[in-house]
Amino acid sequence: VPSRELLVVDDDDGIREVAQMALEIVGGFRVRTASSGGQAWEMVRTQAPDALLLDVMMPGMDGPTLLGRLRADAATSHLPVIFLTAKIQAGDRRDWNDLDITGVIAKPFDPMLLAADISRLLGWDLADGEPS
Amino acid sequence: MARARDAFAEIGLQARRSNLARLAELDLLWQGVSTDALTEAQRERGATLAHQLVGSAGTFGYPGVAGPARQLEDFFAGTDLRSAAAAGSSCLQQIRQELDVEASADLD
Repeated sequence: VPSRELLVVDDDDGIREVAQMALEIVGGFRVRTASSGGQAWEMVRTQAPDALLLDVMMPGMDGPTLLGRLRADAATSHLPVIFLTAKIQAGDRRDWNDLDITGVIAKPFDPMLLAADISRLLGWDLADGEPS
Repeated sequence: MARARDAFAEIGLQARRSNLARLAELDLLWQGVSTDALTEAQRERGATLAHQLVGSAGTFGYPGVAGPARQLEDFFAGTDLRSAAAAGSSCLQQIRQELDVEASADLD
């Protein structure tokens, strides 16, 4: 049974790499990465990941804009999206109340715990990426 | 899990270089604050760099960077940047200490 696939979207090379490593090695997930919202939009439509881990602040198409596009497209409207962001103050979170997201992972994060946190939010089993 | 930790350490070294470069650029930008010399684009760049430091430095083992970096981000995004000149300089100094910049000469 193939493991679940996550698309990690972040403009920071280090964050992208460490998240990929953490999710592959610790979580056993398949992971693809995108460095921009535009690239992620293309990849979502061609690769059909099972969920997105999405940075909020990125140059060009930011996370909330990409989320809006995904929700407006019937093929991706139900794709689970988790924000990965350093914008975690109360005002920022209020802005997201009306957005259809599965959860938020705050930066900075502990790479060793990332896979477990994402599995919990998505209701996936950590061992093989399948739903628990 | 040892494999994961080794991989994280390697990525962390590269991230540290990136964060030191961000700090150096922030230092340069902040020099323009006291003279009101920053353009809107430079203010946005400063806010972006500080924001990236919040997320990256903490993730790679420097959690004490997040607080002062978040303050800097707020300063760059605020309306009265000049009045924050001293406080911003203090934030930069804290970040410098947290990242242990003097011990990083061998990374260059």
